[in-house]
Amino acid sequence: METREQGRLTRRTVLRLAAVGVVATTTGGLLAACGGRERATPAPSGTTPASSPAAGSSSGGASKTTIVVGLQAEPVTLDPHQVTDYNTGRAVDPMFERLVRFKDESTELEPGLAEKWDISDDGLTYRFSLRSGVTFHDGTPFDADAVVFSVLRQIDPNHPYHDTGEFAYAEFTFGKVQAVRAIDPRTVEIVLKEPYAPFLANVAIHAASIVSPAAVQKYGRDFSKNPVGTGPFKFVEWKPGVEVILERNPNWWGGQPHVERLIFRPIIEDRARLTEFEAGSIDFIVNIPPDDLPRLKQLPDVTVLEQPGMHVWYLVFNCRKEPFNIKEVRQAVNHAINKEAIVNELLKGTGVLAKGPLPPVVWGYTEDVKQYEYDPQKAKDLLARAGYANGFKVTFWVPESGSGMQQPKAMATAIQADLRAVGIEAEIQTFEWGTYLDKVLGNPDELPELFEMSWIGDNGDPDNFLFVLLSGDAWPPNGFNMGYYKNEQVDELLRQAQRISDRAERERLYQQALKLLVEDAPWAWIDHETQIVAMKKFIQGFKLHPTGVFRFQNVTLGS
Amino acid sequence: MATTTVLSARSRLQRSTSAWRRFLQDRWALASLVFLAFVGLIVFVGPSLAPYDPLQTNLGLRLKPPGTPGHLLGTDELGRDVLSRLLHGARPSIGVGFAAVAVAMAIGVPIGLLAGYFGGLFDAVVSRVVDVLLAFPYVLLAIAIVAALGPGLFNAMLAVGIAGVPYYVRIVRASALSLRDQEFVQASRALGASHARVLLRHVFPNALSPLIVAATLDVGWMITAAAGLSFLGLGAQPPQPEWGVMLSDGRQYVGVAPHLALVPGFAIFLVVLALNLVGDGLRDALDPRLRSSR
Repeated sequence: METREQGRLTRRTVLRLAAVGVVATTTGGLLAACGGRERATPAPSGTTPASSPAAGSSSGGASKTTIVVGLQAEPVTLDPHQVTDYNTGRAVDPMFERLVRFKDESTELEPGLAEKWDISDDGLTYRFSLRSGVTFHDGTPFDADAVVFSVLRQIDPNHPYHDTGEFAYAEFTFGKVQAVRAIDPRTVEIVLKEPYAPFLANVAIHAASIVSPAAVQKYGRDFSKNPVGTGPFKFVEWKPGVEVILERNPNWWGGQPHVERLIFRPIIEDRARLTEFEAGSIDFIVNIPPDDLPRLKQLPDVTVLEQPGMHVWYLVFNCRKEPFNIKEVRQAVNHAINKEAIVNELLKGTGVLAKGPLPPVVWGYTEDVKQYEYDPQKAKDLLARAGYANGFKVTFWVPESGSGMQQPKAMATAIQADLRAVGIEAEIQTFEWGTYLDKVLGNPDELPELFEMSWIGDNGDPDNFLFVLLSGDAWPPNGFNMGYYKNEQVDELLRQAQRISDRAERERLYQQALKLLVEDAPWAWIDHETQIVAMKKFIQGFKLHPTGVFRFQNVTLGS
Repeated sequence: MATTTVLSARSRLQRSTSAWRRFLQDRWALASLVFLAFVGLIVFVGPSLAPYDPLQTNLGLRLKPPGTPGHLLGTDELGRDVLSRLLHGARPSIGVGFAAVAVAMAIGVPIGLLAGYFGGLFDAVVSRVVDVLLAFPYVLLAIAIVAALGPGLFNAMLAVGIAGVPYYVRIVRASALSLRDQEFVQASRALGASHARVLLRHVFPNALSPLIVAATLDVGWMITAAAGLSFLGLGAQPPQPEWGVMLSDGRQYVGVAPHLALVPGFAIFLVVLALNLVGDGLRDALDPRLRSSR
């Protein structure tokens, strides 16, 4: 009886205290509001630097040798052959290398584990001469057999270690490979089934990483938790949900990195990640909320780096369904959306206005295409001409979040409002990212008329945007043409561009295809996201890369 | 314990007036009731009081703080007027709570009455199922239901309502169980009244007071749960103004525009608090012998 009485009293007291608190804060708040500026928010930023040295990691007062990176999500795997997302690639990349690699800040190629290569005149045979004296982190030597192993493990169903993972990118990377053989320990030859110009660029992506055969044999499926490569950093520990720890590889052929330890910490919420960064417990973050960026740039101990991204954010029209099977309707939507306002106001300039499906940083880009200026009246005219003078109603799928999706819900709501102004009622349905991807790649008959998507280039080749996303040969599951758009003329140009290797000629074909595509408007493209990272000032010499991976091997550490 | 409560119509009336008097003496409950009446008014006339169209975006006027000329409570991430969204959001946010309780009661009360009154195998089965459902976290159950029905405010309401059914089955069954063996019930059975008549005329009315208290307290719960689902993206879909969604969307801008999360959060808090205080007051008034907390 006694305790129950007390319990009752407690609950009631709490409720009433809350009520009193409400009255107090309301009046207090009103007074404050009347008293004028309630915007005294610089206080938190002023206090954080004081706390950051204390919160700094084990290295204490001495100059820091560890970089803690805040990731968007937990890495899915540490096996480079199984990487399918941006975020995972960032944790995996420092441990592995490819035969060729992208130059700093560009998608031009330079020698990696291969010192040089020759391509036969028919474009079918690639012969790589391998770097000598390179060893894997486990001490085994890097040689031609390791290259053959790394490729066959993914594409040969009879390979003894084929069942050590799911290789989603194998088809994209090595789908055109006929054979791969070791000519001698320092020479590898890869033969293609047909000429395929983007192949060399594919050899520079995650799926083409060279892994230690001895380690795969030793760990089997658990190689994804015990990665062994040749990269500048080697694996130490993965505490799931907490962090991935790497340390520098003192024997790296490119010279020992200055950074001793790299720690990747998944923090899913953008705000939480930013708060940890400002509190000093992480040194390097991605996906900064655009509205916080101006404030962050003013902090004295923070460097903000920006670089045009190999990215496009777009609205997919379901071309198999009315009304978006009609070109005029698709063009109308492109005119109806105030893209400038979305880019400048909502995204605070963290992206570049898109004029077509291809980002300006990828070669083959041209602005000599049809322009879709913001013009609601023109949109209405186009709709009327297509027979939809009174507008129509559609369903609009939107993910809650997702890599490359920027501000999916806010952007969708802004687009929805713009569409309403021209008579199009778009009913938004939101989904969690994983579910969303399954749904948009799933049964085409269940697709809505409209949905959001984004793409981040893998290898810097226009083929990786235009063919993969818009060719009639790339309808799911063969590619990511999720709106089921098809234009014979475009398809032919894209196929042709794959088969020839002359860059200038290919560029001409892509520009031609772009012109047709922009006129046809299979999407409403909105923007190309700028890659933005913020890091503590002690990290020096860091350069962003268009593919989104982080290169810490040349970073130096200040105080 | 064994006091028999044979109630004539008049004594029931007397009881209710004295209950009302007891309720009026509880100043907290009374103040809350007045506040709820005010909120009720907003639910009905709020939308016409709103200074702006709650869906009208204005990207040039984003994230303005409260007190901005023309925007008393500021603007949100798309430049929409927060006050207008708050006023328009009252109806779906609060309506969902009441509707969900109605759903839960509509399903739970008959089942509970039948189970408690008849007992036997039906009761055993119902009780075990209810036990299982009660062992399930409320919101998890609601999420599972939304996952099956698809997101949307109506579905969220249904889900929260269905998830609340076991709670009502429990309460009504307990009442029916104790009433079934009371003398006045036995007496009317002996006089030849049908089961249906006994249930509707005698058992149900006497089970009403714990039910009213539970429902009042539960509306607050339901509002919070529906707001929770909206917060998780399973409830109201953009651009519908709903307090849970407003809170969830505002969270992202807490560093630059805290009012986006604070305003709807405060509104939910106040309404739920008032409902709880009224519920407590009602409990004291209707059932003075049972002044325990839920």
